[in-house]
Amino acid sequence: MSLAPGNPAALAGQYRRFVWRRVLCLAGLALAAGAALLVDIASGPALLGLGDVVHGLLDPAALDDGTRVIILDIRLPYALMAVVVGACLGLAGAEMQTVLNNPLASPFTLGVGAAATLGASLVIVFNVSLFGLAAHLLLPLSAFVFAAAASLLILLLSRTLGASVHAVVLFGIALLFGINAVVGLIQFVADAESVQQIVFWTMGSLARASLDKVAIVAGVLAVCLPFSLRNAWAMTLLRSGEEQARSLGVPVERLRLRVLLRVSLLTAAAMAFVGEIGFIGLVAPHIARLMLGEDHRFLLPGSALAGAVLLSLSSIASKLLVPGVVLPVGIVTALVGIPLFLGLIVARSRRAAL
Amino acid sequence: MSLELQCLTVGYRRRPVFRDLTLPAIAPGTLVAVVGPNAVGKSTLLKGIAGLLPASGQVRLVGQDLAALTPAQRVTQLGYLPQPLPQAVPLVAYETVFSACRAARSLRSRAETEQAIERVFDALGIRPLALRQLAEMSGGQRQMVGLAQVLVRRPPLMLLDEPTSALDLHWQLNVLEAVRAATRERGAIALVASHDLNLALRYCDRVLVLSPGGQAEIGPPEAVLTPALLARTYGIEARVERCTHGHPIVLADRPLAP
Repeated sequence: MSLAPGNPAALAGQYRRFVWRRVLCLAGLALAAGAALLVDIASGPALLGLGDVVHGLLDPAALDDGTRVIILDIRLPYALMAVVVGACLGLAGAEMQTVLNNPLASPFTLGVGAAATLGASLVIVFNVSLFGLAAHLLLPLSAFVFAAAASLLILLLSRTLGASVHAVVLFGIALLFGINAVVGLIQFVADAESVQQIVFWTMGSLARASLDKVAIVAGVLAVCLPFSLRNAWAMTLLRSGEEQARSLGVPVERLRLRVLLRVSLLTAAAMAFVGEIGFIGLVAPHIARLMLGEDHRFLLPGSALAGAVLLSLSSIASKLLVPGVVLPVGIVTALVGIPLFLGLIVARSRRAAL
Repeated sequence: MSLELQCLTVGYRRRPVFRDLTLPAIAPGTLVAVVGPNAVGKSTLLKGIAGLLPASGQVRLVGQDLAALTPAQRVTQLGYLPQPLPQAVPLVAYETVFSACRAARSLRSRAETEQAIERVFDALGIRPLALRQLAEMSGGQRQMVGLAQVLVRRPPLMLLDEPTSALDLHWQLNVLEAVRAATRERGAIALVASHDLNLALRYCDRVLVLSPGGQAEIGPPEAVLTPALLARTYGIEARVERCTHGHPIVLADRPLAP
């Protein structure tokens, strides 16, 4: 252990400079998300210049009809959906990893994702129409309701038996397997076409996006983020140790239950319209952590931005990988995310070695 | 600012570790070493006083019952260092301590918080660690950061569970000097659980010996720690002698047959 007297400059000043670097990092992530969004709009079967896209967005009246339809009606909703869904999943993953104290936790860990799939499968297979709602509206609604119900079940069980990390994770995993079994059963009895639809749903696709759906997901994100940030200090303290946090008056159980509630809202909203998109909720928080550390004032918004960048890049890749075909974005998230993630880890270990 | 424990019962669910523990009042400015064999309930006692385990009976600090306080009020009265070290996560030491101040909402202004952090980093001698990540630190360094989280708020009552378990000799002395300074300068009371009898004896004003079966004895070290008591509580044959500086030292000879 070093005994050197250290820099006589005030620690507070040093720390402020340190925080400034993080603010810049966060701004960099925001810029990257913006850039990815523009490239996402520009890429596709009909190639558009980035300049045209920017002009088109700023002054839609100046565009010819064809380009306007492409930019505003088709690509803008897709691209925005990628950004908001990525942000929801990134934020949800970061909160989940913190309160479960587990780097492998993600919004899908506790069966919330599987429950959404179950909700969607039921609508697809039984072709139900409820209260006169058409299937294309009922499907996201059912996915949302099932995901919320699954979280509620975990919440109730955890509340009665104490919301320790182990209790929550065990209930969640049990629920995950239970739901997967039911989904398997449904697929077994379903006809071939329905099975195909379910499988397609689990691949996740932005093709079902529209501006009003984007608004709903963005609304959920806008409601959840301020509550997340209000808990930022408590979550930062929780990372250094649960008992210490508890002794300093952080209501750890209540915090955990609130986070579960937020995560289920974010995940259910994100999945309802685009299907299952894995990987983002797991890796975006790690990318943010590598860049910004564990101070949750930065980690939470950073994870949301990293998720947005990741899904945006995936959306671009899904259009470019096979020319003329738009792949379901859920398939490419891992393909795009892993090189980025590995690159960051390598860069970091190089820096540490210097 | 004395500390009184009356009829304190602490335990997990239906299995209390202590029943009706009553101790004479502990005067302000006292450093109490809490010693005893494994699983005798040293940690349980500290957690019970800190309000982290269900407890009945009374813990009175300056006459007010700690259990009757809201969690936010209790936080201003005591600081607790748990036995597990802070986790090796990418948090820098400064923000680990800063988050402890912010989450506890115990210090009002930002300037006040910054001064307090500056002071505690100097008092513990860990200024060079301020911008290092916990993930890059040794266990001992993380333990020092954990201590800074507790000492930064200058609580009137400090409950430290094995604060030197991961430290080398230099830092063990450093930590106990800092804790003793806190008790001397501002009349705080410290309860320090430890397995290191000689380290505890060197710094404590009172020693609290917990024995299997829920008995407790408290008093000046030389009065309480006798070969008979060491045989009864630890099951060892031991001598208690005085070093050249006048501190009592325990020389353990051999374990007694059970």
